[in-house]
Amino acid sequence: MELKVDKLTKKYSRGEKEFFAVDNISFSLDKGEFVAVIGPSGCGKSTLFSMIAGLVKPDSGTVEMNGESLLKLSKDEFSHLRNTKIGYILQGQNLMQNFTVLENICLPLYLGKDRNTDRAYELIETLGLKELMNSYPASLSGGEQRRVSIARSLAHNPELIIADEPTSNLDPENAKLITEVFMKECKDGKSVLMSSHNLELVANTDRQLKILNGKLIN
Amino acid sequence: MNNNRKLMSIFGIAKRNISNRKIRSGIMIAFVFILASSLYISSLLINSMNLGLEKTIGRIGADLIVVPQEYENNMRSSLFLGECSTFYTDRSYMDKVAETEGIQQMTPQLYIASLEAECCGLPTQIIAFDPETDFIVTPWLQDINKKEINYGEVIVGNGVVADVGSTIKFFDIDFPVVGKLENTQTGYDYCVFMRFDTSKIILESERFKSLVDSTIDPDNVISAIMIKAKNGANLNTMASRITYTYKIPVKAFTTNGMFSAISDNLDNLTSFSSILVTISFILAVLALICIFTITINERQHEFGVLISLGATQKQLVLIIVLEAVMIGLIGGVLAVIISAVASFIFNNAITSALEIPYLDNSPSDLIPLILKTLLIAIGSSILASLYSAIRIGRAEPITLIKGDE
Repeated sequence: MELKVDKLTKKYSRGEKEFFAVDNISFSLDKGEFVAVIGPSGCGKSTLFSMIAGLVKPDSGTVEMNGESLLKLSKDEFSHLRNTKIGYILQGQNLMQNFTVLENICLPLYLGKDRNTDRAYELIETLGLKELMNSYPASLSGGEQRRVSIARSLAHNPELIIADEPTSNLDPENAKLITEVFMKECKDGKSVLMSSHNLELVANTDRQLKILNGKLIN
Repeated sequence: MNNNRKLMSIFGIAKRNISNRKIRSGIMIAFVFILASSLYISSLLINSMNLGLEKTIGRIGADLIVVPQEYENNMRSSLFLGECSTFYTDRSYMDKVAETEGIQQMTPQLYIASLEAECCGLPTQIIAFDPETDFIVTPWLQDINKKEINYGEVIVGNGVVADVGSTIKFFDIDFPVVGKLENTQTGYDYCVFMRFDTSKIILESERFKSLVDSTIDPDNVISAIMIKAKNGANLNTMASRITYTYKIPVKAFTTNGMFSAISDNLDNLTSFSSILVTISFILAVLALICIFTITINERQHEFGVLISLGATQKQLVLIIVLEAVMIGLIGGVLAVIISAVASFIFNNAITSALEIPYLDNSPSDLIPLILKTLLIAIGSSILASLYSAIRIGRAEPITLIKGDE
């Protein structure tokens, strides 16, 4: 999978003031590459990720995946893309409280046409969730919940993984485990775009992109 | 590890949302239940009254009914509800009535109420008829393969507690029961029928004379004259003529006219019930809209998560509508089951409290009512969910993801 982001821009207004959440950002991501996006809170990392995943419409710029422009896709086509080729990990706790760990992990499969659960069970083993499979999120620790959330975004075997601060507020052991999972995914040919404040973990990535006030700083 | 678990569908997701949010779902189901059960019960009562009235009018088989003045209510209650009543007038008035143009057949009837006393087996409306001229009761006998009844014998309506071959006691006299009529679901089901000459046995008995009327002339009394008009005869003109021309103390009614008061009351009741059902429909839908709006608002982030995992907004709308369908269906089914069971168990209490001949619990009439109730229950729930569903369907994905942050 190759991702190409070109002059991506998003402007928001706060009261009467307008500001650039993402200002003319361009970069590319190759197949099997693990790239970290770093920068202070509110610098535009989440907006950038949301635009790549089709959750926010940019004001200008282009996003291409394997040479195909994503911004031409309809809402439903983008949904299909997220359900097949993109694994998106949202910031914070995002598990569905009414569903067990296993059901949470299988959610992308429930929503799409791919009904093969083999990879979901594989991820449950890899992320050490086997004993918790039938538990509900309320009974899990923060680290366990985050591991479930990551397993869920990988269950449909996406080509591009976008992880918005997947290791925030995690103990070093859990943070390390998650980074290792992403590194393994990259070895398997997937591309990972991850934002993080943890510089120790970021050091394990292939490349770092630094954003400040919506702008990419080299 | 067992990898062969059946995967959940969109329906399964909606079902889980209902089953795991018990309080919210319970409140919504309760609103649908109140709406559906009030609709079911009021429709059941009105349908039963309408059908009872139609059946009574159909069963009478006469075009005109002539009754002593001021006794039309007794006659009406006796025919519609099977309420007991004794009233009579002079038989000689029949000759005057017979002069009326347009009469094809006419026959007298005598109404005697048995008493709730030791002398009588049970309080029942006794109707005596004249086998020579009768065109009302005789056809019913044919329905039970009986050509005639003899002097001293009685036949009983389907609701009378007496079996064929047993006897039934009126004013200390035992009468053999020789037939039981088919169930008609009218007041006639609670009446006992005998010939005029048999009724004389009662009228001449010491018990009747001491308890009811000692001055009665058994050969010269009738309670009503049932008239069948010729084809094309103007029934209203005939009724007016009988009532006003002959200067005799009787009043003639067309059969429909006899029950017009009940029919008018029924129309009022139908309008009143429609208003009540409409109000409860609006209140239930408004309450459901509020609950849907509040809970769907709280669940925006949940829908945002589903979008991030690849759900289309159509799927989100489908989840909300399916939840509404399930709430409507559960509320509707509960309302139908509880209302139906209550109407079966409290059948007698309801019919006597509301003065209707019977509750129409026949499957052929209940099935359309059940379907109508379920349809309105589900429809109101879907209607209430539409605003929230459309809002979620049109929202920007990022707005949903940020939802309750």
